Amino acid sequence: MSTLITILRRLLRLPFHVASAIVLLVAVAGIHQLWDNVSRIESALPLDSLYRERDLSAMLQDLSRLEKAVALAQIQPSPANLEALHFALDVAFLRHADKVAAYRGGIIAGSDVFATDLEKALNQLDMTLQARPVTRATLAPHVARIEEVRQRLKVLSDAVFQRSMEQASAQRSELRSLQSSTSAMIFLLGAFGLGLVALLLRQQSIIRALECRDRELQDSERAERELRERQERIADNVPGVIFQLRLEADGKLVFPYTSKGLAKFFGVTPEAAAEDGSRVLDALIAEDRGRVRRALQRSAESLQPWTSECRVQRPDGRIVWLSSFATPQRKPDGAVLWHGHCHDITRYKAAEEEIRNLAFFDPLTGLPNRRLLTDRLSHALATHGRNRQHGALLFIDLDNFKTLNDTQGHQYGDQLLCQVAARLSACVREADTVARLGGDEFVVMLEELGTDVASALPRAETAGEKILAALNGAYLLNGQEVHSTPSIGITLFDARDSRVDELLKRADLAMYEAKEAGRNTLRFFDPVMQATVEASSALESDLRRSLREGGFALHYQPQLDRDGNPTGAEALVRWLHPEKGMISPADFIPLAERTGLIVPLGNWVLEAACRQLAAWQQDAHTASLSLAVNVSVRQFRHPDFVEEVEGVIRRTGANPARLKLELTESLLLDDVEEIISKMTRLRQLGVCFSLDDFGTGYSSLAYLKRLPIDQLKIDRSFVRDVLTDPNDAVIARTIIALGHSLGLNVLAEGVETEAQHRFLLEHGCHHFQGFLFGRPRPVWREAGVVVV
Amino acid sequence: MLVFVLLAILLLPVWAAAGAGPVPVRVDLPLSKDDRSVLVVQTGAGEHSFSLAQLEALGLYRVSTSTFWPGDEGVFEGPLLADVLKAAGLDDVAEVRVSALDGFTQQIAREDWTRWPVMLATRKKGQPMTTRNKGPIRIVYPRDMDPQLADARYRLRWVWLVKQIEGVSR
Repeated sequence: MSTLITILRRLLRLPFHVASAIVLLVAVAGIHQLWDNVSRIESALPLDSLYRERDLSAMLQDLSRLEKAVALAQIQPSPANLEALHFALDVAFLRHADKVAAYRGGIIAGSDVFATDLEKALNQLDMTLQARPVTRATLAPHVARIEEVRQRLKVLSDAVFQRSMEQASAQRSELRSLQSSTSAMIFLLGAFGLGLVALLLRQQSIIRALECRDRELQDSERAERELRERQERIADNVPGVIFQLRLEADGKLVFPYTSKGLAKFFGVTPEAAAEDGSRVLDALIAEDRGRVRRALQRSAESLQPWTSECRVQRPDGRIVWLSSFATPQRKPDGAVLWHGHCHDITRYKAAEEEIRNLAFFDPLTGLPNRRLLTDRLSHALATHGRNRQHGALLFIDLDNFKTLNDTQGHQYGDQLLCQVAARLSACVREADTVARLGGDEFVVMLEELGTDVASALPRAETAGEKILAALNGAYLLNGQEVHSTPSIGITLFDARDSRVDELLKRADLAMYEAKEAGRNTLRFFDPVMQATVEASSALESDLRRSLREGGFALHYQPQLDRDGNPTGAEALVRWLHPEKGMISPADFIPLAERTGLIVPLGNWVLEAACRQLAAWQQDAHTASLSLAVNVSVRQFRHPDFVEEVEGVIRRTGANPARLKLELTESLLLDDVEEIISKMTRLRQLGVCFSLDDFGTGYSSLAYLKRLPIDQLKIDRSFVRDVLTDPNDAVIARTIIALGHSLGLNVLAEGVETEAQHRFLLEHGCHHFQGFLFGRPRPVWREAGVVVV
Repeated sequence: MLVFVLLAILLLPVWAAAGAGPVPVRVDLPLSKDDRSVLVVQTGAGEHSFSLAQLEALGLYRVSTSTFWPGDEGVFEGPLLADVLKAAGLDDVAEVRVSALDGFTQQIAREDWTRWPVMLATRKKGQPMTTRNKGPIRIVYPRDMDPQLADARYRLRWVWLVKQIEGVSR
């Protein structure tokens, strides 16, 4: 059984047609064998023996009858018995003729002899019956003879039967073998039938498996199609464009795949892009095209991701910003394949632009701010280095902006700034930069003015004049005509000027010079000025050190009344520089003002003066003297100034009524109300005030009336030319008259000659100060008496 | 015309043997005068006794046929079994039992005598048959007329020494 299974298994493993052929051959052989067996079964049937035996039995029966009939006739030869004998003999003859074949032909030993003897016996009996008369005697020998042949036939019949039985037995075993062989055949055929069934089943299962695979294939195809459709749906609905970009080895550019967004942005169908990718690049605006191509080339060479931000003109004419990102792969054929996407970043770009504007532009005027200016200036310095070009920086400050802002309000100031910005922008070339640093400070940067200073300088000056003229025109603010003037500082620069803040400082200094020069003008920064600047910065540190270490001293210049009696003195600060010796206040006071050192210096002066006052009070000769102390604008503006003065007075024990604070007109430019309030508080302490340099500034007479001052000082410039310049004489006289009419005393300073003294005296001036009466000295000297 | 002549020449041997074909044909011969009873036909109504003269009077047929036994073949004459049974009033029975003088009996189905012209032969080669020659009457099937009749089944139905026929109802 196991071998059969093995064979079946082998059979199952054979190729189907070979297995089928084998099964078919075996089946044909089996059927043939079966057919053969059936034929043999038919031929093996013992029909001959059966017939022969039956024939012999019939003959034996006939002979028995004949024997009986002969015996009866021999006993009583009556006609009836003889008739019966005749009939029996006829039948015997008939049977013999009929059956002679049954024992003729040597079917069994002695059968042929028997046949002859039987025939002879029958013929002898027949002859006896023919030869009449038939008697008991004639019949007698026949009785024995017939009996004898009957006996022999009986033996023969038994032998035939015996043989027939043997034959039957042989045939039976033959049939048995046939049966077993047929059974084997049937079994074999059955087995192969089963094999056939197995093959069919296998075939069925193969067919089913194939169908199943076919179905799976269809399923997977459907799944793949669905996947592809989904992917396309996603790709086509994702904002922007998803793409494959291929740069062939020969430089040709194609887009093997692009989502539908392509047509929206580039006006190129995906099919057209798959044929020729340059159509897509052509949709970029011209100035971005080269940059994008270069970025692609770099990405192809380095195989680093390609990123680009570029503008494209959409079919509807709108220009949008696209951001692209794609990762490259090198293909075996030398091409580079990118997978990437790009999307609309127009809004992001706009936001970025706005942020940039906020960061780099002044929100009020829209001009670049300090930061952008610094950027551009650095850039300009770098390019000018390459081009050997000169540029210019113009520092512009509006002269009376603060007043306008304070008196008219910020709205007016803002409007003015906007108009100034517009006029400035209109004055310069497109490539130049106009920036607002803050407040009323503007900077104009002019580039590429020429390769040498000689050509750059006049061009810068022309530009400055143009700006000066443009800003000088009247401004219409809320229907009101307003005048404004600028002060402009100009500095040239080239590649050697590497520091941006240094340049700005230079321009600022030049502007300061313009202010000094009377405003509404322009000034160049020059090397001399530079030297001054450098010197001043050295001076500044010395100043600080001297403040710490006490390098200052007070000198006193006497002040006299009309009768020539001293009323007091003005305290003037002197700086004894450790190396340079005595330094003029004209040199270090502006520096102190600029650096803010004026506040501590002023405080020192105040304290020193008060100590001097307190000292004078100890002496009867000097007890009535007052001492005038210069207070700078910055010092006075200091929030704690009043408290400071109060503290000094308390500390020193000086009589505040003898302390006279000299203020300049420039103090009155800003925050007049606060100034008045401060002055009033000091006045309450008993401190007096004198208005210094009167007539040089812009004092408003309206304010003058409200200020709690005691004295006006006629500036030394008027006094100097009072005899030669009629204008100065008029001014001097006017100031004196003004003082009198306001109830103030008037002091002329810088009186150097007797003629000046006389003129002023005649015109009603009652107080004098000047070299005519005494130079400033470190000690109070009066009539040979030195009071320390 | 020529065609008919040729056909006639071709068919001449057939006609010549017309008196002895495989298919029994009607023949006119001088009838037997023997009126001794040789056959008894038993019917439900009684029995009919037939002499040779009476049997031959029913109409003689002739057939030339082989038999199952060697040397037994030849030309036989006699009435049809169907005619005999009809004359005796047994033509509607399903079967008849035929008995022989030596005690042999055999049944013959109605199908046999209606399908084939089965004869109750009274003569062989025109001569009456003796007992030794299976006479006086024997059943003869037209064995060469139909191959089916060569089947061994039909061998026992060739009853000779016929003595009696009786109807058998199934």
